[in-house]
Amino acid sequence: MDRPITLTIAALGGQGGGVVQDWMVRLAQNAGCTVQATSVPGVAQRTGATIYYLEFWPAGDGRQPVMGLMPAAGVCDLVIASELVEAVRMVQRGFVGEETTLVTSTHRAYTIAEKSDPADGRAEEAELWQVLEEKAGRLLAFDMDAVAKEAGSVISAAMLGGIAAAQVLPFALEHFEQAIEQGGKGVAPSLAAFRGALAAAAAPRAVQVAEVPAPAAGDPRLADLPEAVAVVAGHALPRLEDYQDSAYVDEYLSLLEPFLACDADDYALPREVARGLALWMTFEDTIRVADLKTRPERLRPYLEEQQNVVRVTEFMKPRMEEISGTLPRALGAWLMRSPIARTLLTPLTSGLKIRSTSLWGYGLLRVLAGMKRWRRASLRYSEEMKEIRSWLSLLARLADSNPTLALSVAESQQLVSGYGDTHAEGLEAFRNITATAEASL
Amino acid sequence: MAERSFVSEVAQLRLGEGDTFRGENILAVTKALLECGVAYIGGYQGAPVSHLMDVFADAQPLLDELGVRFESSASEATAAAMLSASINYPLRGAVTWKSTVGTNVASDALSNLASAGVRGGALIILGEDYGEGASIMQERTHAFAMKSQMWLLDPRPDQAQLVDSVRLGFELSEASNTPVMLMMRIRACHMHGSYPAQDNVAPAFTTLDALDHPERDVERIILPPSTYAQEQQKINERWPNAVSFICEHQMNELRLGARSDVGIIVQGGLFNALSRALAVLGEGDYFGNSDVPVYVLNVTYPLVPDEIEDFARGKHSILIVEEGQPEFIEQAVNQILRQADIGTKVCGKDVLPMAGEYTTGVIQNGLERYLGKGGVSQFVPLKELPLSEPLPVRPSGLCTGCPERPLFASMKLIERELGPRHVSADIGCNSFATLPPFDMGASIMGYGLGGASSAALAGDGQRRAISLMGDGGFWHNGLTSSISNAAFNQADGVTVIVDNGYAAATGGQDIPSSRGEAAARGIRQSIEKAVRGVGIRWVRRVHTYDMQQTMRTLRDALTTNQPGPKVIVAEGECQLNRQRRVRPLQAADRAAGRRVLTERFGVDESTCTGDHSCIRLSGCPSLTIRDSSDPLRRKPVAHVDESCVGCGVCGTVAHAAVLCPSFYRVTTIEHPRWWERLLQRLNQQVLGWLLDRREAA
Repeated sequence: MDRPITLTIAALGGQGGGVVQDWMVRLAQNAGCTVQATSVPGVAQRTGATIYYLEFWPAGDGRQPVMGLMPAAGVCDLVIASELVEAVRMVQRGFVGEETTLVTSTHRAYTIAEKSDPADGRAEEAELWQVLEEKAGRLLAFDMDAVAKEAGSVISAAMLGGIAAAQVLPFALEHFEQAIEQGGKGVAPSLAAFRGALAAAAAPRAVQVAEVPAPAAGDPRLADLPEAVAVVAGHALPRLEDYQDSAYVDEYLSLLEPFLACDADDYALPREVARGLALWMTFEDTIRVADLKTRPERLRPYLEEQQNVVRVTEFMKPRMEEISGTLPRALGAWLMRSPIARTLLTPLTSGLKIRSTSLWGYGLLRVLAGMKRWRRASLRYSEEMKEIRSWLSLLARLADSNPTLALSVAESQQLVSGYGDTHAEGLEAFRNITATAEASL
Repeated sequence: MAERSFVSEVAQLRLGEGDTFRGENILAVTKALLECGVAYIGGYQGAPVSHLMDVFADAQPLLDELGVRFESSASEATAAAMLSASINYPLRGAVTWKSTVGTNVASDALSNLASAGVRGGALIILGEDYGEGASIMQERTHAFAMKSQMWLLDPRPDQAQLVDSVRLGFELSEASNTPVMLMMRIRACHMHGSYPAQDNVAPAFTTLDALDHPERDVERIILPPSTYAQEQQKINERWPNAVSFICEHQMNELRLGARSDVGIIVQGGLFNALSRALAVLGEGDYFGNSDVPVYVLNVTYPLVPDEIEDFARGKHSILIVEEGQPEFIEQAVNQILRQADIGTKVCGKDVLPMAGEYTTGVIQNGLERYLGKGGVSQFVPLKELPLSEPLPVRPSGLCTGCPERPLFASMKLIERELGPRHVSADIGCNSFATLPPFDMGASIMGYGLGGASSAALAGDGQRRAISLMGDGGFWHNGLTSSISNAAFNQADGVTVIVDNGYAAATGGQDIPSSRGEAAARGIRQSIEKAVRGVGIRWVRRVHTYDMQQTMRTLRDALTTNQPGPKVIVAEGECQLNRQRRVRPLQAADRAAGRRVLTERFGVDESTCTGDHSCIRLSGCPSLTIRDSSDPLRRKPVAHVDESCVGCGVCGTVAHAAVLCPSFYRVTTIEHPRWWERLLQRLNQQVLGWLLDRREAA
């Protein structure tokens, strides 16, 4: 057709969409192709979504097409998106049709609304892919972010590779590489990312399956459980053992035991109880946090550094509740009541920065972690166990009368998470739910 | 110091006859000013015309050679007043700003300039910030042209055409003694193109010549009875002169087509979208030709009645493609044709939408209706995708490491403590606080008007509103309109001035309180002294990254018994500019083997429970989420990606809000001092032994 070839680049502010545009303008000029380009930067560029648009007229007949200034439905030959949702946004805006080769990155850069959700607010990826597969004439997909990182470069170079891989524009690979070289900045990593993108685009799109680590098998105690429950418990048992001791695992299993008879829906209720109970019983007290922060597998990489000096600083801010919670029940309860003792301990609650790669910091955290042996006597432990038992008691009573509600109450355990105020708010929401459920009995 | 360097663009300004200029249209216009013998230039930066200011700010040696006076004006009003030099002297002057906001600010001076009339050509280059990517309320510059009788060029966004419009704009201004506005839409400003460059022309009469030969003319003063005479001149002399100049120089273009029954009148700036729409519909080609005749208004005010009558005569109908509202051109064309007793039907807003950007798709829809092609086809964006939830939107936000983030997080935490407050926001990066996750700010009234917009809500000494303002807004207008006003009226509110050292939102230009090096500018002025100078007694400085101090000061300001306005100057360097400043220095230190300290933050996945409260209090782009590798957890966990600049706000927020112990900082020291290395070795030995022992156990 007697019309320019169009290229639309959908990027996020700061990803270097402008750099891709500059490369494309330069390489078209090198190849003797008439090129026009425009963009909508400005405030939109501060982390918002933005598009760059180019038109190429390769005929070399001296005629100058009137540039469209923006993509128009029906004449979008090549659309490249640096992120999955932005690719779908191009569809939404009508810039992806039968004539379109759509090149998209498979990775997600989550929006503020998705990130802010207290639970999981991420868009359903399977649906996004369905839209792209349905609407795009041709779809090329690869992880531009991963390609760029692997090459030690930025995503713009991977996008250029995606443009080349699509083979919609009349340019040879040398033209692309020449444009990068002429750009003059970070040439080697850009070239590596460009070539990495070519390879990645040629490979079929890997359908991402969330990898679930296999549970530690072999615990004989798992054998007594129905298989569906054993899958969950298989993850729970080592966690509980690690958290406290072997007796703690037995305690867990005995608390779980009454629910094993509920086999409805492939043991939905006992599965959920097994999950929630394991998480709750391994609540994050100061002892647990100190222990996790000083794991060898966490600190080793920093300690093996030879070239540079590397320090890891932990940001901790225990409240009076955390301090007293670690103490023996009676002492902790007294501390919470005693204004004088609280005043004396206030400096600890003003925020601690503990260098866990220093002898002092590591030692302090280890001493704290060592209090594990007295955990069962601590105030926090007694409080948590009280909550756990009343939750399980409610579930046991609901299991027969209202299995659906029982499952919801079991799931609502995930509200009880986090630290400080977030934990308190979650606990309050959880209590409201259990109170309502209690009232329904 | 702007966000990027304009060295290569400055080199382009030196091109001469025989060279080809290649680059953005706004830069071609910049170059064209020098080719037209401009004597002085001013303006206020803002998208999409910032680059004009940025390039000239970096081009002082060239401007000195040519004898051109350049100012980074304090405001658009300043820039407009600068044009008064063309009232009495044969000086060509050009100013620029973002419209319509800038034109609003400038309109007092513009009205007076238009009334007085000009002797030297006065050109106002406007970035029409309308449609996608616009950051302001949606209005038309056209109304300003009509009310003040200034001429409005809206040229076809072809680079050679634009450059020509600059030249013709000056000539038109001189031929009709009227200031001329040249407007360019966002995409047209940023469009890359080329044109055959001409030599730069030093002004024949310079601003220094004017000082040597002072002149005045009482008829050009804005006082009665001159003003009455000036209004008559506008109508009886300047307007007819302008119309004949436009006509004679064929500034508007007639593009003939085979069809005689229909025709289209289009604003020049929309020609490309129209042409593309015609091509996609099969009514034209991709090179600007179509069967439907098109009359391109490169000058949208004033219209040339004869040309319009000739175009419409004999046609069944014509379509006006005119973006925005009200439909001034459509009304005027109707009036022209009725008065000439021409019965051609005038279509426009009946087939095209009254409001909103005219994208190719929108024009295509209108054309289909106008040309009787029936139904409206697939060219409207798909409002609804087959998704269970709407596609997530991606609003603009504060950059990674932005110093305003800890300020707004502090305000958020103080709000939790003392209850919600009325917050008046302002123009600039700080306006992003009105968006998630901060969601603070009830109104935006204008640049530097944050304080002024709390004037009615001055309170009773108990209840206090908070007003926000950037340092850019402060120097633009805020010192007088907001701060001095509050002092004079003894308003009992709290104003927070964000002192990040630059006009950050428009690209990091210098302002009076900038702290860098700028030989040609009088910088390093103290905001605090200025505030005290207009009579504010309660003034505090805080460092935004010190959230404890910031929260303490906010609490104090909101609860103190001291009456009168409270001003907090919240300091923290714009991170974009800081990175631009610091990175080369770090690279140099690294290369020279000097000590380099870098910090990065991280979230411990093992202790993160996935409640995301850290994200809701910060919204940093580098603080994101990812799947938990813990098979028992369903919620994604927080995660700091590699774009982290180590500003430390996430850790500080975790402290201040008592969030969780998951944040950690990794400090890396390259080329450490010997004792740092020694200490590290010692730690490594002992800790390594301890870890070995644990693993063995």
